[in-house]
Amino acid sequence: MGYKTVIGLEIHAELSTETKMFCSCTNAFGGEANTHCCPVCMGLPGALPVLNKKAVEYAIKAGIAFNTKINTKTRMDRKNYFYADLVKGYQISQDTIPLCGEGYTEIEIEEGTKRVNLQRIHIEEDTGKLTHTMDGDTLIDYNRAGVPLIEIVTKPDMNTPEEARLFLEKLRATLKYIEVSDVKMEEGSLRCDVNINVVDTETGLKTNITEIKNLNSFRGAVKAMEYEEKRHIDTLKQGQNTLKETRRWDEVKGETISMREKGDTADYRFAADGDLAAIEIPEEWVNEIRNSMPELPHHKKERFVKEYALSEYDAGVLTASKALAMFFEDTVKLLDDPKLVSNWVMGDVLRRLKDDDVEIEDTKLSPKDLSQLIALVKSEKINNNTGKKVLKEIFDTGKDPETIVKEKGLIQISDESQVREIVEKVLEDNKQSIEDYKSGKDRALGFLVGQVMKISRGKANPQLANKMILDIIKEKY
Amino acid sequence: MDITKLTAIETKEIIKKRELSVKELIGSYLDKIDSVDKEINAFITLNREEALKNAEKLDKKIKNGQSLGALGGLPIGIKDNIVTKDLKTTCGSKMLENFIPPYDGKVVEKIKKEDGIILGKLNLDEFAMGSSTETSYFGETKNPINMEMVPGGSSGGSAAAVKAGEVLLSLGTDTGGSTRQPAAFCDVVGIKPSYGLVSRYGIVSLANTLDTVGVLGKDVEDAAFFLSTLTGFDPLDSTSSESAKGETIRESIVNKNDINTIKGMKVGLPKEFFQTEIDKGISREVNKAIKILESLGAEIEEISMPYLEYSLAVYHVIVAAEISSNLARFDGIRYGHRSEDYNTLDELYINSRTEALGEEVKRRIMFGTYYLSKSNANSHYERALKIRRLIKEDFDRAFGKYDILLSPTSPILPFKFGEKMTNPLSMYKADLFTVPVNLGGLCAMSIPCGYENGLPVGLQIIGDRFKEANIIKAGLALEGGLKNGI
Amino acid sequence: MVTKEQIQQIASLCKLKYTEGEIDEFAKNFSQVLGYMEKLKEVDADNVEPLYFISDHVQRFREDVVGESLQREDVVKNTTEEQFGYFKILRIVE
Ligand SMILES: [Mg+2]
Ligand SMILES: [Zn+2]
Repeated sequence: MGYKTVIGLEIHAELSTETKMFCSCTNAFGGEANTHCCPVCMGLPGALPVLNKKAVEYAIKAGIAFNTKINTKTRMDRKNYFYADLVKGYQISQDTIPLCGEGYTEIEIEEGTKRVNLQRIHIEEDTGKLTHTMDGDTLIDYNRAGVPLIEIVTKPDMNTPEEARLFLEKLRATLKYIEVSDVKMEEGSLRCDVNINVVDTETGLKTNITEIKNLNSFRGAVKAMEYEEKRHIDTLKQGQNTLKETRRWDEVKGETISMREKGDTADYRFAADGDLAAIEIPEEWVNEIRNSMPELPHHKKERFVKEYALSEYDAGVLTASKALAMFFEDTVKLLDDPKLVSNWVMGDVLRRLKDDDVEIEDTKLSPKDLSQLIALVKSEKINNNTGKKVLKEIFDTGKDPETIVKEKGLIQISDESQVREIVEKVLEDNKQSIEDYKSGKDRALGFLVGQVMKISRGKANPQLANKMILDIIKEKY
Repeated sequence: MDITKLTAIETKEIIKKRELSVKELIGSYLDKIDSVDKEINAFITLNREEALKNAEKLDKKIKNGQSLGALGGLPIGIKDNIVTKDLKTTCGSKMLENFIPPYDGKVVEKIKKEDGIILGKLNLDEFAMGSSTETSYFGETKNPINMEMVPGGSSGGSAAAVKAGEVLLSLGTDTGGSTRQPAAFCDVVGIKPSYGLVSRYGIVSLANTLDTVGVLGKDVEDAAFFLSTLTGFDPLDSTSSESAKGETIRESIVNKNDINTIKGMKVGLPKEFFQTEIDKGISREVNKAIKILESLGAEIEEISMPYLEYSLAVYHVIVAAEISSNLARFDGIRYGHRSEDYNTLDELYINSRTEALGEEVKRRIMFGTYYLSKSNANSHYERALKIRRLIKEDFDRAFGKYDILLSPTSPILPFKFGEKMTNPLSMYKADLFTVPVNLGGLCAMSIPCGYENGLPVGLQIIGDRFKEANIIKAGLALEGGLKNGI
Repeated sequence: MVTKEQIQQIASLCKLKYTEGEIDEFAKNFSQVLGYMEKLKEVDADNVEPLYFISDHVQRFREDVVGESLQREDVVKNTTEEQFGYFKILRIVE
């Protein structure tokens, strides 16, 4: 018995333009309620929309990044429905001719590279925000109404929640790379709806598609998909089918909850918006945008492999975030040892970023700091372990490595007579270990080196100590 | 002398020569309104204090030797579906009974900039849906020519106010004839400019691919001059045209006394128009007018435009569809009437809208919702848009050959109140000749051309897009011809 | 012929309400007008491109430059219920 999960995603990303989609109100996040509003974004009688050029440009950028066809002749349509967060009784969106048509992107799964196809990317306006008070009243803030969005719709090409997660990661990284969206889920600038169902591969029976709405974190999205995947399979196992419905993810309960059944009744009465003239995108403009595109993650990855002789894996990790890739390259510019820099970044630097859940640009560590630090280790002024301690100190205080080393007296002791003095004392005090070593227990050597490091408070050059211990044992014992 | 009998151009001269202060002028008009508007009911809102204050300001300007703008001191009325900052804008509906816009429409801004004085907001069919000004929540407007008759609509208040001497110039709107038909019914001149010549920013949308602002005045020169102060590309209206310029209009007025301006002008008479059922008196007067133009040197020919007969049906579908979407914003949440009786969001919508929108408005919203719904959009809405193209192409062909086209403005004379309210189809037919002009985005003028039983008859002069100069030239010639008894 | 149910369904889409009594009358009127619209089917328009826009120019985009917004008091001044600068709807049960 086998089951195949089928997942399609619909992602709304707010574009990081200066102004809203159809008016010159600021597109800044937050602000006091209803202070980023004008006749246009409030849908006041008589007001008319005028399309923001930057929003179109950003959507085209996204289209290019996801290899879509750009429809140079298109238009805006009205999607008619009523809701309290919608000011005009319709959303200005795109129906039959999206600005960006079919496209694709690739994700790296265990079995190799997988292509996820996109149905479309279209532009539309965001809605206001409702807050429900303790008294049960509803308060409405329209600051977000009219903020430009792109809606990205995939084909149902993902077969596990993990694949969906990889796609979402890829999408987020890409939108961030090309600088068209802040992609901050917690601020609502990236929102994701999931369509999921399951097929019994033997009988060919399929469950009805469930739509999961209002997912506000990737983790939540994955958990919701895992939950639904199981629910659909269980339903099939019981010889039943799921309802065609919309559900939401309840983070606290760890389950999805039915919101409404999805009849065939949704009738948005799409029609061209006559307030906005026909849209024609000059071919030259698309080319201009294409030429001004920043290097995309997968191109950067290929370049890193070639230029810096990194492994596919390392290059992949380093280019997953634009900031991290830039940090790496800037560090290499100051210290021409890509492999070594990569080791440091992939190791202690990334670990720290993960622990603190921050991006590299939000930390106190600069490429200059890291290059200095690596130089200190490379020149054996400090040893590797001390280097790690210094790195932590930079993250915590922002001081530069030289200063830290100086202030804490961490310079490595490489002076032979100084090290010899310590080694002799250690051997004197640990005769048993010498015997052990001689009788073939290699571990004893490690212990002795450790003692030397302990007495020197970590400053002794470990290689030197190692060599000297062997020399002296040979000489004296 | 009754100052309110003068034209706008004449009044401008008097102000310029300082024979009268702006305050005295505005005072006379306010007096006129006080004496006649109780009966006519052209005004929904009177802007008395503001108007007097602005008049004083202009007088001060004159005193200081500054020159006034093009509309310097002229008393102007504005149809109440054009938004005015801090001045109530109701659209003739209970829905917007207390709505005070926080901004000015573009045309209002222009009038203010050119020193026009806004006397108030004029009555209309609710949300401009109608041809008789009977559906206004604020009562019907009477026709100054005959108080038993409707003034036409939807800009009935705008036409009546000009005819009654309550304002010198007025703004209407024209979606299917709403400026021209009341102009014809009230014996004044009304111009519907080409779609895109005047910004729609601040015009409360009825059907946004058909709506234009309209101007009304006592004669062709007044109306044309007024129009020339309102044109121009507006960055806030993406449908306004960059070729929208007032110069050609002003130039066409300059030559107003040259009787030869229409010599050789090619005039088409769409035979489909003249073959329909037209009031006999209207036919007679319109034919006389055509003869006058011919005698002034115009070359008249009959033409055929096969798709014209579908205009009303096409218009009905498109207007209803656009209305249903445009009026969805009136949901009682951000402005407008909110029902006190609701427990759910849906009830808030339904009760607010049902309580505050009139019968005709609701009917058209219903039709439009039907036409746009999934199962009907192809057979109705899309089909209507296709035939709209065919009608437009009919016009394109006609204007390849002719400078202007002529028809009666309306097939029927002003009618009695209540006469056509029961049958919506018969009411729609009042717009038979005006509707195609909006479908084609063209310009047209209604100009008085005679009387039948004491009721006025209007001639419609249609011009190609942005060829306002042609209809103005023809209008001036006809006016001159009628005056001189040609 | 349009049924009463269809009328109810359209009304619910556009958030209007007709009483039972009104609906009969309305359905009749509706059918009458739709009958008139049948006229459109006479035209062979299958290969005609629908005319979505009457302006024959294409859109001129707006530059992405911040302008003035309204004062908040002007944004909320026409609403029935307002609180802390928010629009307010009272106790709706969803
Ligand atoms: Mg969407
Ligand atoms: Zn705005």
